[in-house]
Amino acid sequence: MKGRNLKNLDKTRAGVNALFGTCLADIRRKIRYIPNAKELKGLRKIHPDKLEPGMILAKPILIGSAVFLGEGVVLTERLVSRIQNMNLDYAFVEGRSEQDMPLEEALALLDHRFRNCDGSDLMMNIKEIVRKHIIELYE
Amino acid sequence: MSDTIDISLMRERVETIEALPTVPATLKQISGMLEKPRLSIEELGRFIAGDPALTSKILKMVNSAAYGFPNRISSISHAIMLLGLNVVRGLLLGVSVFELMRRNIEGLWEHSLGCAVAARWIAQKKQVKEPEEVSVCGLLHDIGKVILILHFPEEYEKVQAKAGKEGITLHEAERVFFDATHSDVGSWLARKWRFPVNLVEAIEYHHRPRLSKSAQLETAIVHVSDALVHAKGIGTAHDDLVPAINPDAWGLLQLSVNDIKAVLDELEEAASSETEVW
Ligand SMILES: [Fe+2]
Ligand SMILES: [Fe+2]
Repeated sequence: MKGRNLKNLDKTRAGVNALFGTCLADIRRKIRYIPNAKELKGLRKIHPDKLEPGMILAKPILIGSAVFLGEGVVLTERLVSRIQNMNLDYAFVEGRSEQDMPLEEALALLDHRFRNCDGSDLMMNIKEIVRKHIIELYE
Repeated sequence: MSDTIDISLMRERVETIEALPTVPATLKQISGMLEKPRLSIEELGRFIAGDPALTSKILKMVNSAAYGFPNRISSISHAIMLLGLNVVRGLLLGVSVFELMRRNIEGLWEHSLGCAVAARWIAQKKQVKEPEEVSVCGLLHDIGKVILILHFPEEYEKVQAKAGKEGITLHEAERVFFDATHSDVGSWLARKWRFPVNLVEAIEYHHRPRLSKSAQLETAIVHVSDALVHAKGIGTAHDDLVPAINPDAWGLLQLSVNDIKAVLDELEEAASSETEVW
């Protein structure tokens, strides 16, 4: 009697696993962020592998349409590893993105990128066009 | 001396990409399929459609700024019809290879997408017949970096360290450690995968555009796009130096100040758009 029950239990377990397995895959497919283009400024979009404890979620993480982790949640080590197991393409955390750095910093980076091009008129002309382009982005 | 790797050994290793343990099964299948001398549209369509994740990634790409059919292409067969077999083959490769490497070479994906966007804009301006093919050249031009990292992870770390320390480009640093560079490696694979000659040459000569024989325009476009994307500062995490533009390639394109501005605006718009491919 006991033996038969155990057998059934195994069968059930296998069945549940099979079912749960596909559900999990399904859930994984449905987990995604809903980014809002207007709000992208001031957020950093990063790969889940780059998440660290202490970072603050700037966009909720959803499972289907249910919120798994809300906006403003401070990540712990455990949350980071849970998110990393979710197979997401990216996550949004608070912080300055490149565009949000001060203009002086952006221009300093531009100088740095062009640091080997001093002798070339062509490259200096291009640098000047990029410099104006960057300044316009801040106006 | 012991640091350099013999070129024939290197080529042999690179060309047996299927044997790499780190290359996932789908990529092995893709590689095998791309080698087929006569790949039919139906075959390619069926293969991609059989993988929903791949399908959605490719559709996101073709509907992004890099290919300029915003939200108009809804199926793989439609994409192949509009863009042609070679473009979709290139996208398939780009999407699967770069996705794989997204976490290992920071910024390379963004850099490659940026080049695809810039190359398409310039190709259209220059009235190239198939601007999407040039865009694919932009997307795949640095594919050799990915392959080098996969095959020589430790050596490539040294290459990157050397480039950073000495303020030289990755391309220059690669030469010190290997007999070949990522442009050579990329072209070996492009040939193996039977890409058209303009794609092969654009990859092979994107750092030395003067050497291109049969695809000078495409190669010049990719060469200049590469520099402009660097100049704009997109995806610079892995290589932050702006490479010097070759005056002959520049002269061939005859871009005006306004053209360069337009490319920069295009890049800005694409990078800050909400499309998931970025
Ligand atoms: Fe390159
Ligand atoms: Fe490049």
